[in-house]
Amino acid sequence: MDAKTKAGINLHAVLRNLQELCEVDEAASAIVKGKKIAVKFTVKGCDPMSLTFEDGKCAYARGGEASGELRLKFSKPEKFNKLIDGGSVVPGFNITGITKLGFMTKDFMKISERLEYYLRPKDPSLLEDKEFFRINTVFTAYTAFHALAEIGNLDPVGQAIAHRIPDGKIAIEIKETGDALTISVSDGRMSAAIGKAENPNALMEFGNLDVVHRVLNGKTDVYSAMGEGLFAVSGLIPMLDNMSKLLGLVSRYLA
Amino acid sequence: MKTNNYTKNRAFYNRALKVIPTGVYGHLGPSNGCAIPSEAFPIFSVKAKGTYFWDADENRFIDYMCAYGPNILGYGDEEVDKAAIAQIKKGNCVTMPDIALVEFAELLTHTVKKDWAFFCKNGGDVTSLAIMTARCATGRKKVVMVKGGYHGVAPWTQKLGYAGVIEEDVSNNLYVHWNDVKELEDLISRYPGQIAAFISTPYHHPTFEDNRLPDQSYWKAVRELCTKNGIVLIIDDIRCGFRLDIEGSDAHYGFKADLITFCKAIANGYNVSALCGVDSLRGAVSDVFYTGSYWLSAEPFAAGIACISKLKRENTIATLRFIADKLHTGLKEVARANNREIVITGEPVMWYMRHTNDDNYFMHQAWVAECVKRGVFFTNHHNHFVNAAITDEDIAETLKVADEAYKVVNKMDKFKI
Repeated sequence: MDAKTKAGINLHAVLRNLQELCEVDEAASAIVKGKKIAVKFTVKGCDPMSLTFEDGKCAYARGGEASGELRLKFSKPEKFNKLIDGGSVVPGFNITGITKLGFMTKDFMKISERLEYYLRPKDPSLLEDKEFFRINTVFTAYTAFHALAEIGNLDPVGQAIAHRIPDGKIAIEIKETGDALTISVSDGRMSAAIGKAENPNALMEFGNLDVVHRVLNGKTDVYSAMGEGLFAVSGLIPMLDNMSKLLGLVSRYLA
Repeated sequence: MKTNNYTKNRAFYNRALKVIPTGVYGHLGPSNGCAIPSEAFPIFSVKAKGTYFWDADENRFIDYMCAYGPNILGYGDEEVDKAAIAQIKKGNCVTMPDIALVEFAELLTHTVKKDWAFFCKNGGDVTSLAIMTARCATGRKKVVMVKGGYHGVAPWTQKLGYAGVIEEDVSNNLYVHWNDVKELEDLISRYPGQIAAFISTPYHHPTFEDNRLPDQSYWKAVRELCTKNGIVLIIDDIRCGFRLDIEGSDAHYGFKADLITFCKAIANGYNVSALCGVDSLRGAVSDVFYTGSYWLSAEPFAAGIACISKLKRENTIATLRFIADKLHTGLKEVARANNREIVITGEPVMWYMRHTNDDNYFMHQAWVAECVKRGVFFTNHHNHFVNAAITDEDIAETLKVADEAYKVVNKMDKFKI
């Protein structure tokens, strides 16, 4: 497993979910209500990422110079990954805006736990709740497909695969709910975005949330889903074929 | 026109999914076979004869995939089947190989003008043997292949990032673009004395791309480069063999390969493949340890003898060309009549097709699906095949189906014109 790729996934696939989390989860929104702070993460080898919390909302941004009051700069991706995996602040990074560090140790940890609550529920019975199931499944999809783009950009094998994907847009859609993601590829460089693609070159369509949940959690494969009439692909198949190979690598990083 | 119902196909597929990975794996399966949308396609057959197969729901199809190549004379050709059945009665898989081995090798080497034949079962068996033979003969590691070319599923034929393939499997592979002699020349200069073989199909028939014939001077130039640099020239004739020229596709394009692989049409569906080569490589191939439990079974040899004999006697290749030309002319006319343009590339007997103004194939996939639903089996992104059992009536029926499929697609919101 490549540490830089894992860091990229943690930044741009996992933590980026905080933006949507604050929109759908009142408890998450309450944690950061009344706060106004921008946190910028810089990890060597990865695109920087900033999260701006304001009025109970969170805005994710990639790259650029954040006007963040709190800037965390990691000289090695391993150190950042340890922070995320360990769930606590570890030494080995530079901080600018030390007076705001309390936000990281308290509020940020709490909201991160809220994200984990949805992404990795400790109590399986939570999935019986329709709304919880929806959030869990949609966030799992967001994480997996954003992670896939990071793997294509950073992982050595992933890069080889990404360079075989023809340029264009792949639409990933859930027919039942209208939830959608777009994967864009240009000269081997990949990006993921939430939302429906206009004029996609290829389409991957899941029939409902249940089949998305089962496929992304390894409870069924796409062949069985196809047999059920709940999974379909069309368009420029080499895009999807190679994207599926990247998707196969996601579980190695997110396991 | 009635469209097919696939209830029993689906039921068998759901049963298959429980006991067979992916239900149907490989190129005959709905996933690798690009059955788009899958509900438009059959999954299992229950019988086949001539140019038709019948699926699990008894729907009949005019089959333009020909089992992806093996069916050249027609499914269940009586002459070939008779020879195979007679051989089974005499003996098939025995401790000693049947004398049919010798008779088949004599016929094959005489037919394709090579000095020896080595038999296996599948195309991938012999492409791998060809690479091992070239490495043994030259003492070199690297192999040049054409980007987009297909030589089977052994790890060396795949790419980094494919499931189960490791870096070391493909670390000696070098790639050039089709028809690019200069690129090959540059590559040879960059790796002096390191390249064991250049392996390529006789013309470029990748999936998802227009198929391309060799430029007039291409093979002559490649042959000269290989000879000059001690590189073994391997022609992968698995797909084209006996469809372009009875003497092999190197003969068709006017050059001589050092090694040439055959499978598919060699025995009209009986499972045998062959690597044929020049005398100078006899020692190398003899040194390679290579064998399999059923490689010397006699039934396919008898079928191969009958098949090649019939192909020669009836000049089947000319028949195939006639059928293909007639079909293509008709398809182009039907497309035009429906305000569509179909693009047909590659050798006519193994044509690849797509439509213009449809860069991402959405419309093409919809049209193919409508054809399949009406009993004409095309596939989306692979080259097709014709066989000698196709009649004028089959072509007429195909064109009628194609016409209706265009009319259905043209009414779809997404493709309205």
